[in-house]
Amino acid sequence: MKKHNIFKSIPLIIGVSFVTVLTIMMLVSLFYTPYSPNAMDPSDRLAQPSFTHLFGTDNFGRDIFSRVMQGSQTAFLIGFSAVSIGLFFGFLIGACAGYFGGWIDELSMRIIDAMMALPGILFAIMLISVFETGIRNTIIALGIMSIPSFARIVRSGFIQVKQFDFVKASIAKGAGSFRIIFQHILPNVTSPILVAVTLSFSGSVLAEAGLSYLGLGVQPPDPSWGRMLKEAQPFMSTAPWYVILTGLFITFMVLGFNLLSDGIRDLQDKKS
Amino acid sequence: MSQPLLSVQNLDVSFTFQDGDYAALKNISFSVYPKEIVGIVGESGCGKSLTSHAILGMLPTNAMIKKGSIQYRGTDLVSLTNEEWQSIRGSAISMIFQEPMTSLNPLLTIGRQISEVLKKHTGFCNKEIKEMTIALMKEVGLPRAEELYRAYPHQLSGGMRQRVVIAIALIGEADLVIADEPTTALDVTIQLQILELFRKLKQTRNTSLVFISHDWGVIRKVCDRVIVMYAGHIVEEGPIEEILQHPKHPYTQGLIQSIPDYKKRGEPLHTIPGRVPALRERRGGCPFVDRCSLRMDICQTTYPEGKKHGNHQVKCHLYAQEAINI
Repeated sequence: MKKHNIFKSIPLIIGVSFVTVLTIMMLVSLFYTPYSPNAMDPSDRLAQPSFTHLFGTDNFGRDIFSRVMQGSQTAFLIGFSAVSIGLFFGFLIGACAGYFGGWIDELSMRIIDAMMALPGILFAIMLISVFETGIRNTIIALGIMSIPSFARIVRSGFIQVKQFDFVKASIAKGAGSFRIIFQHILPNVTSPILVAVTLSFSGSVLAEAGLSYLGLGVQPPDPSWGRMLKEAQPFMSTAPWYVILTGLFITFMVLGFNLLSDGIRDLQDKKS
Repeated sequence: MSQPLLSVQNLDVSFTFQDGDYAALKNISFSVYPKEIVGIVGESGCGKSLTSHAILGMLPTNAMIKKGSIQYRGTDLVSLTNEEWQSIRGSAISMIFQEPMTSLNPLLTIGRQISEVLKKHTGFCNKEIKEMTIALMKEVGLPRAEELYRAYPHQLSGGMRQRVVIAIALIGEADLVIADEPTTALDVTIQLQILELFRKLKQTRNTSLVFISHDWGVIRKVCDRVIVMYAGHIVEEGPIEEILQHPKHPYTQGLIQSIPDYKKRGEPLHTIPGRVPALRERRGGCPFVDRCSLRMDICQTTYPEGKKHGNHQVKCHLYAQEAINI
């Protein structure tokens, strides 16, 4: 692949810069935030953005910028873990279904269909209300939610690559199923998987924000963008920057990963 | 003659469709002896590739061996389990595919794809495997082997890729290699080089080869013996020169007459009218009857018995009488 292709894709450039900035912000927040994210200052409630408080303060006088920074940790943690769970099980199910076909395919795809029939967010709400709220259960619920899309993408990739001659050739070399799946087919389906990973990452971040907004996701004192939105709601007219700035960061995160996946798909299309 | 390396006896293979089973290979019997190159010729759809896939246990999922046996050095391959097959493929019997462009994994280096066979079947250490791989790459005529070891398939030309595919088939020291139209995708000058490579390898490595092709020129260049297939049957078998000089079956005669030749310049090229009957159209009797110019009444109803004329064997009613005389 030629280098200049990468720089020609505008969505990719924007996506990569958003994601890079957010990643840096998240890494910095691990060591440094301007104020302690949970330090309250009742004398300085709902302050406007200024040089002392870049994004202003909330109804308890906490620094919003520090809380947004801290919240990015939760967003990345949830996105990363939910995608990992979804990818792991989705790959396993999709690879077996696509490679072996037959009744294995039929059975696992019907289960996936059943999972897809439930709206993802409702499914997550159901899981969370049966167990309990908190980061761990949010991650598990969002992870399970993203299994079907991974399984379908991996399965269709496997079905496509399986019939290539080089797979037949590796059977003729004496290779077993395990070797064929991981050595020969997997490298050839990485780009659709990569697209799905980035897309599912932004989906998970958005779903977490939604759940936390409903009070079902991340619980205090863990900071979360979704819950910050909920907290900002009563002050929308008096302190509009609170809700706007927080919402903007959710947008950046989701948009960044969506554009990234678009860009990767563009590159892939150009290649083929 | 010595013991055959591969012996296929009365092999029947059928495809299962929703409306029933259809025989794709009928009563296939042939043997391959050590250090022998056997050609299989026939039109598309005659069962050449199916035969080769059956020998490697790689039949499509809807195809099944109905009866018969495939013996390799005395062991019956038909009853092998999946694990047993895996240890045979690549190390005892290996295969060269038709399309060098698609039979290599585009994302793995050449070296890795060749050495994979050794990693699977032997216990050599990585350094030894690399040395053996590079030595073989040189033997099959790949220039700059050390450099190409790290190259990817798209950096190679068609001829070089086919040499890589050949190296993959040979590295496990398989004594039987099945080549499914290995030169069809190459241009003629490269074709000639590859065919010479096959002849050389037969001498140096004692490999037997089953060479599938529809090109008589190619078959004549490399093969010792040739099997002519038609619609899932073997119709004629014998030494290559004997068949080319004295083809007996009307189908073989037709095939040989349709080879372009400079002596026939200006004349229209001979063709066999009609086409190979599709699986569902095959009935009893001789499969070639509808296209045969010498057909008799018996051809419609009875399948001809195989008649031996020395080492030349033919299945046609025309020779029923003659064979008795011999």
